[in-house]
Amino acid sequence: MAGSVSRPQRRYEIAAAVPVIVAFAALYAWAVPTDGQNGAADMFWLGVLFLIPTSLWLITSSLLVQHWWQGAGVRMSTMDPPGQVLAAAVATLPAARRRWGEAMLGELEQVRERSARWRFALSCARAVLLLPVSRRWSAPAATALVIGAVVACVGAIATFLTRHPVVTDGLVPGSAVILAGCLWLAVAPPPALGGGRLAPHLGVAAAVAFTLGGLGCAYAGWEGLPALWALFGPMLTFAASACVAAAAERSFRAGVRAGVWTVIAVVPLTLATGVFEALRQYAADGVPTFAGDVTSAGFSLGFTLLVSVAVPMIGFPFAVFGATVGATLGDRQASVNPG
Amino acid sequence: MTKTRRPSAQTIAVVLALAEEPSQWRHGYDLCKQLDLKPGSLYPILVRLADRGLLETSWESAAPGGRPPRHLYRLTGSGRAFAAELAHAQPRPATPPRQSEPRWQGA
Repeated sequence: MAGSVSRPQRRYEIAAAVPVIVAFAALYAWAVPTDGQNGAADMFWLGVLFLIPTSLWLITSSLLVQHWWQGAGVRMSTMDPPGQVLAAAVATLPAARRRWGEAMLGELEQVRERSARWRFALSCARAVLLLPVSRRWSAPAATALVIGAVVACVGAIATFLTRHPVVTDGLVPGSAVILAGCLWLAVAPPPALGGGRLAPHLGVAAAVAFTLGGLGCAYAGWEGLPALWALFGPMLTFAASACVAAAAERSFRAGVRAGVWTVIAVVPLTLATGVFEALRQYAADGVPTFAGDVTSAGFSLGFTLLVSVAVPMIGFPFAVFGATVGATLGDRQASVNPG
Repeated sequence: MTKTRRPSAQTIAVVLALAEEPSQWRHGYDLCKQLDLKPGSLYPILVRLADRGLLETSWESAAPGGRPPRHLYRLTGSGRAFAAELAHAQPRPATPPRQSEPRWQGA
């Protein structure tokens, strides 16, 4: 029956929802002040506030499982657990590498003994996740932009630390890990991120648009505009790029890829511009850029990092929503104009 | 010009195993058993060889009993030349002896 959800699919949706709930519960526990001064009402409203992103991410995880299930899940329902593990890994492969995954699944059928099947499946699954991708970057302009943003970011943080050596926030290692992750995904993307050029280009274009929009809002001088942009900007830019990528390639996966590229570009871009702008503005007029964590430098590196991480946290669910809409539109367009 | 890097011992073993009967199509699982290689090591090697145009791939035409078709491999002309080069440079056979009870043997 159309629209019905099978029991195995429901199980996978629940399994995907658990880490989302755990992560947001941990974030909530971290965000609640521990000085005992916060009342029950404050904690309640903070909890209500946390329900919004938690719900968005729960819908996102459910959509991702649904699309994955359409590709691999139905087939998996007839397989034994080793086959399911391997099929799940194979489903992450881009079209250009999919035949290798199919080859492994075909060979798994030759292995009879259960423990040998597990060993074969796990070994293949590991290989699938590390399968060599093309040595040439699939989207050199997008990769170059992310590299440039990471270099700018390192420059911004180095400038900050040179000018304010005592204000380290203890979060410099955190910045390094996050930037290294972005760089790794851009330079040596795993097979699951492989594919055409359009999605990476649209993804980084969305990141640039968000960053420029943020700067424009900051310079416009309208009170409250930067905060509005910080909230709605990620929703708009992530959704638009993913929707266009998914519609153009008639593929939900392409939309999600655009969203991932927006994430890996937007984090270093917002962090670099945030640090440079905060340093420049505070030096110019002594006004702190960010409320809350004001230090002797006028702002906190840790808070800036938090802002740059919050952008994809708000935006990525909208990339998945945009990908869903775009893929549907692309299919509809193709059925209206076949060929 | 393609930059050539000395292949790993496992890659050499795979190429030489495929070169034993170069016209014969081989299966991944059989290569795993013959070389006692984990599939997680074999497949990335096969992918690289295919990417470099050294390996030809095909699918089994008729898969009996509704099971999925198997992927088949054999060396291309350049692959055979590469194997000959490796065999010439190799002081002793790189292919480990066949084992009586290979690790990937099913029950």
